[in-house]
Amino acid sequence: MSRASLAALLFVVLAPVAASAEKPVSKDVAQRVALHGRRTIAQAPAVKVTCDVIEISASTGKEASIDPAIKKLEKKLAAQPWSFNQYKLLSQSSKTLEKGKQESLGLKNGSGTAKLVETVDKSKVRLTITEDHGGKRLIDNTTTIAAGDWLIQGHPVTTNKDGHLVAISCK
Amino acid sequence: MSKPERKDDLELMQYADGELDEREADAFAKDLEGDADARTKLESIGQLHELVGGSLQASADAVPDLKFAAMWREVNKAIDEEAPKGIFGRVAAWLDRHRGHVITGMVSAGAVAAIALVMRTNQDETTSASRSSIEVLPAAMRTAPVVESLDTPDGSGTVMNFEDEDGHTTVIWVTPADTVEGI
Repeated sequence: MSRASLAALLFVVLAPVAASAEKPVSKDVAQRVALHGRRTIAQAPAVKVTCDVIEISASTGKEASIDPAIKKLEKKLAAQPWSFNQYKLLSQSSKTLEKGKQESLGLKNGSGTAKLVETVDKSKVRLTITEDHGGKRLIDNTTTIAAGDWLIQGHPVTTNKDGHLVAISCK
Repeated sequence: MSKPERKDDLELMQYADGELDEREADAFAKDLEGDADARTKLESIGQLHELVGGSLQASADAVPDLKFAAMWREVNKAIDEEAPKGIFGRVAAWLDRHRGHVITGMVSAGAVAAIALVMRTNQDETTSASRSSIEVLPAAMRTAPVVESLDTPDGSGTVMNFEDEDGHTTVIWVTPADTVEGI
């Protein structure tokens, strides 16, 4: 076995280990910052929450129906004092919101943003949510909502009697 | 006197060596019966033959042993000459002799390292994804959402709160100003 072969074999074995050791620490992980050469302090991890964003088209028909993908919202939607009884999923996404950073909701109809203002009592979030349709600001609200609860914004679609709903729940 | 003794000694040796013909040997044997000195000599000659024969056999047996010893010396000498010099050379020679084991071990170690790397990456991603700054309380322990500010530039907003066993639901319904009918 030549020296080159030996070196190649050692490289094959050691390269993954070295790559693993040199892997950069994720920004999400608390990072330690050198202080005066010896002491280190732990930086607080970034405040983040994950929010489910569900965009729904609501309409009124003879028979009630709901998209299977939003079956979990059926009871909540049925409890509202509106005449809609048919719900169709337009878009669904999971957004990770970082404190102070505005995030697009990625709506199919119109556009919207969400921003995590802060977390409250470690179990609630204060969100600022905007929604624009037809180039105009439709709504801009700031709401404090507990993790697991739902906030639904809705408005009638001007071209017909349907409704456009955006449901948000964070955890 | 000395002449017949010499002749007797010669005949004794020929008899002991089996060089006499049958007739002479039979006659010599008969003569031995009455000659005690000759019998003693004959026994001595026989012992001498055994001694010499054993020594020769031992010498003959020693030859192959010496040959083998010489061969092993040559083999050892050749091995010593072929032995690699230096630590790196010895390591390389050892790896060369155990190439199969080394390659198997290295491949296994590489596979383990790759799996560990992948698992570590997945673990980091899982940790990152699952890390949240808030915790979900049981529905009964949650408080109703609070709409702190609501701006609907071209319409009006209606806020409704509902509660069920899954928690609270807050609906903000925006009615544009040009809409005649409500919800």
